[in-house]
Amino acid sequence: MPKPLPQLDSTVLARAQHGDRNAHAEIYGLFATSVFTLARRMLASRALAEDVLQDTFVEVIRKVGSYRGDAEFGFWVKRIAINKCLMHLRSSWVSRRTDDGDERVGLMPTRAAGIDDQIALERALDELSDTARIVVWLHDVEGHTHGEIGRMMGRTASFSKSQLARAHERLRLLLGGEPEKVGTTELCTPVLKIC
Amino acid sequence: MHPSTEDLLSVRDGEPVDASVRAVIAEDAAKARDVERLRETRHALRGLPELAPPAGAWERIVAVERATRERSNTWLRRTAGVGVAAAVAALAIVVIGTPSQHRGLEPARGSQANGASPTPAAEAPSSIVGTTTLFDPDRPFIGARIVPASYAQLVQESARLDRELRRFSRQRPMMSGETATTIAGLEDRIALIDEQLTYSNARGVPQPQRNALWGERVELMNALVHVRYAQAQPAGY
Repeated sequence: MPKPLPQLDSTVLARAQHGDRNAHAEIYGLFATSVFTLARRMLASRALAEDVLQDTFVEVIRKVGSYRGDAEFGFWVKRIAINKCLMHLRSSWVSRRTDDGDERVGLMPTRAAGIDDQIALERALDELSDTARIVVWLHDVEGHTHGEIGRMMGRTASFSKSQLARAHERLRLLLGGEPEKVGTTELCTPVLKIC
Repeated sequence: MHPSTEDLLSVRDGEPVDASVRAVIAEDAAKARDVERLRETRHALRGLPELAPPAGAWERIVAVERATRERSNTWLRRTAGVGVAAAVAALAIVVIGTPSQHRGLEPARGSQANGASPTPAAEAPSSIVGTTTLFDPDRPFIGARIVPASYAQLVQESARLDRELRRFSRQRPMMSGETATTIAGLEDRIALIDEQLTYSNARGVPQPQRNALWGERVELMNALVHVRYAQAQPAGY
């Protein structure tokens, strides 16, 4: 299961909706880390993630009064952040032509000795195309369905499925495993310790 | 039958799959390990550490939000409108004064970089925003680029302006409440258009309307880049 979102106390929400700055700060304290993490992993750029963090919370503060509780508050915050990320990436999708899953060229040395497994996985994630990275993060980590991801990206559930498959094939390759083969039995993926 | 990665992911996620796929996986230990590997990858992704936001981010957010809040919504819309109009009108005046041969449709820089062929003039009627000039980093005060009208060029021009905007946004200089309000108004309108563009495929929005949305996005982005550029200058614009 994806990590559970922090719960916002209803009194804090009510205060925030009345413009209480301390309540806004509490909301930021609760959700800033998850928003920044989401943005950094989706965008593969710390600078862009900082932009998204700022834009997201400015919007949260400005629109918290219109939050009606239709979805969990943390989910509502994350949806704003995801929309901001997609806005940042739209130009990249077009200019780098990664819509069809073309990957960035060049493999980084994820198997170099001494590199921590999580760093290797993080770097492999950064190497995916923008589209594949977004899909794998939204599906495998954030727990969105293919239908939801397709709608968010203006595409279909099938598109999301195929992008997820590409992402995993690519991750396997980058992390040192062999690409999908019939009868493959000897895998070595250091990050997953399946050697 | 050789299950694809999509099939294996469906099994991992408990989604409905063809019985023959399930049978293959049940009988083939290698395939079962592949499913387990996909499960482990998901587990490893979820186990990546959370990242702390940068120090001072909350203070910046408060400063920007406070500057915005000080103005009423009505004032915000009026100021945003003035901001757009001023940026666009000032440059339009320059363009009117330039020789007519400079006012033709220029291929967007992004299209050249991507190797895309420029759309023939016949396919690019300038009915959307034909007299607006776009930000050029080499000639920031003199409009030398004309808003294109073909879909591909609009998208590419939008991408170029996104890149220009990123350069200025990164600088984060202190700004007046008026500037912050203007920027917030423009960003709001761009966000609204982005939302419409995001869902345009799923909603089956006709191509002319998509073109119009991209055209509007280019205009707003252009105004925003000009405001950001002016804001980033050490002295007055």
